[in-house]
Amino acid sequence: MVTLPSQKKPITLDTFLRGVWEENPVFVMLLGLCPALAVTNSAINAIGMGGATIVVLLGSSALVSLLRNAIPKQVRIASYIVIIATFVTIVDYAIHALSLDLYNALGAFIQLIVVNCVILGRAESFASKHRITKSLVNALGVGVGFTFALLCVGSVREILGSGTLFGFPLFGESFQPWVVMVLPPGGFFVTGGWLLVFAWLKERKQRKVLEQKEALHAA
Amino acid sequence: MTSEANLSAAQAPIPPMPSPVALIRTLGLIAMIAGLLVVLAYQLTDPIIKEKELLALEEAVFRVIPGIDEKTATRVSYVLSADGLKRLDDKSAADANLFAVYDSSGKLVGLAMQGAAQGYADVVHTLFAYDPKCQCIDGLTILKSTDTPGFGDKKTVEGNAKFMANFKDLAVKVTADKSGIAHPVETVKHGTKTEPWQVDAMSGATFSSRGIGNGLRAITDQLVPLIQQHLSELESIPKTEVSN
Repeated sequence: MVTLPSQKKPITLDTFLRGVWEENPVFVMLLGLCPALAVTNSAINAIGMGGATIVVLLGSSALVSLLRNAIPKQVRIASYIVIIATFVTIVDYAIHALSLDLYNALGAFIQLIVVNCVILGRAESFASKHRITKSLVNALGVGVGFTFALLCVGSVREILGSGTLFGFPLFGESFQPWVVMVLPPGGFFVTGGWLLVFAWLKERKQRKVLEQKEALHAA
Repeated sequence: MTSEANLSAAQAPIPPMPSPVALIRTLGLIAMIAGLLVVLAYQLTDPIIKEKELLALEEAVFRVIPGIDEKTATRVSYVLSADGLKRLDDKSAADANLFAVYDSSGKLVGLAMQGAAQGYADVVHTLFAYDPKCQCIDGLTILKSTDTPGFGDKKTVEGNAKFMANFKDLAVKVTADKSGIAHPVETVKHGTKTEPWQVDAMSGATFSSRGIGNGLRAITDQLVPLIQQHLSELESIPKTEVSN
């Protein structure tokens, strides 16, 4: 098997942080938008879905990484899907056993984690090429980044749509909930708003780098 | 340099295609690992899930029937059909279609029955309290609903005092020969309720209201005449052996 230079790189904080910020699956890569829009009508649901995705990411990345030399590339996608579906089924049972309310709230979207492209993307582009420790660190970073994005969307939708955060009321009884925010259109509005914020932050960073380069050049 | 690299890459030997047996063996190995993990997870979680579902159902039964002292009350699960009344043990409570709650002296406090019908997004699962004395529905709780948040979900429905008032003294009287319901439950458009057996739909959530009303109609049509026929057996806590 050919060893790529990137495979030899040691595990650094960047291995973890890249998935959280620089390559955030929702706000930067625009992956896994289906659960990001569908189940984020409350912060608790967002954390539940994020947690479930982290467990599936860790389990599937570990197994794919362990079996990477045994899986021929001709059957790799089929193998990855079976591995991911296994961990999704385990998480489905676990959430059902832990909290009936959360299980009912997340509904079919737990089973739909199987087709979340964030997970298949990690298996194909990272876990199948790296050792288990590095794959786990990377998967954890991406999972935390995904949960962070879901929490950002879910918190804003719950605050505006229900006047609560994690179920605790924030405003007085006179507050009129902005119901559209907990409905599907609200998911699009809030995700669009967060994408604007991230695009603005990225542009500002690029502008600063450019200004620094120009200042150095002038000096 | 780049063209040299491309040339050497093009000349690199193509890895041989694995044999079909090797591919099947790999997939078989992965499927076996997957099967083992799934079965292990199922074995570990299934008893916990069943216990939690039973607890949730028990809580819902105690919540929906008014005037219960939870500390002293006893819940009994039954299957009621044309073949008769059969008591179930706690392990089989999920198969029950009728729940009775008795006070500390063994006297019947109230009955509860589960309804299910298509709502807006999916089937709405409900639990109704039935008072056999007044032959009326005396409470509603939503067991499971995936209808639109803010319109037809559990929190919104149970928080809608006007809609919930429909399920207090809602008439489900049986005919004189106890063979059927005199006036089956009917869901009507918001603000058009005129009869005591009608359910006034929620404004903006007509499909969810119909789901709840249709579930109630189906279960009352089926069970209420049978309850009235077996009322003497239900009135005091049974001392007979339970069946699995």
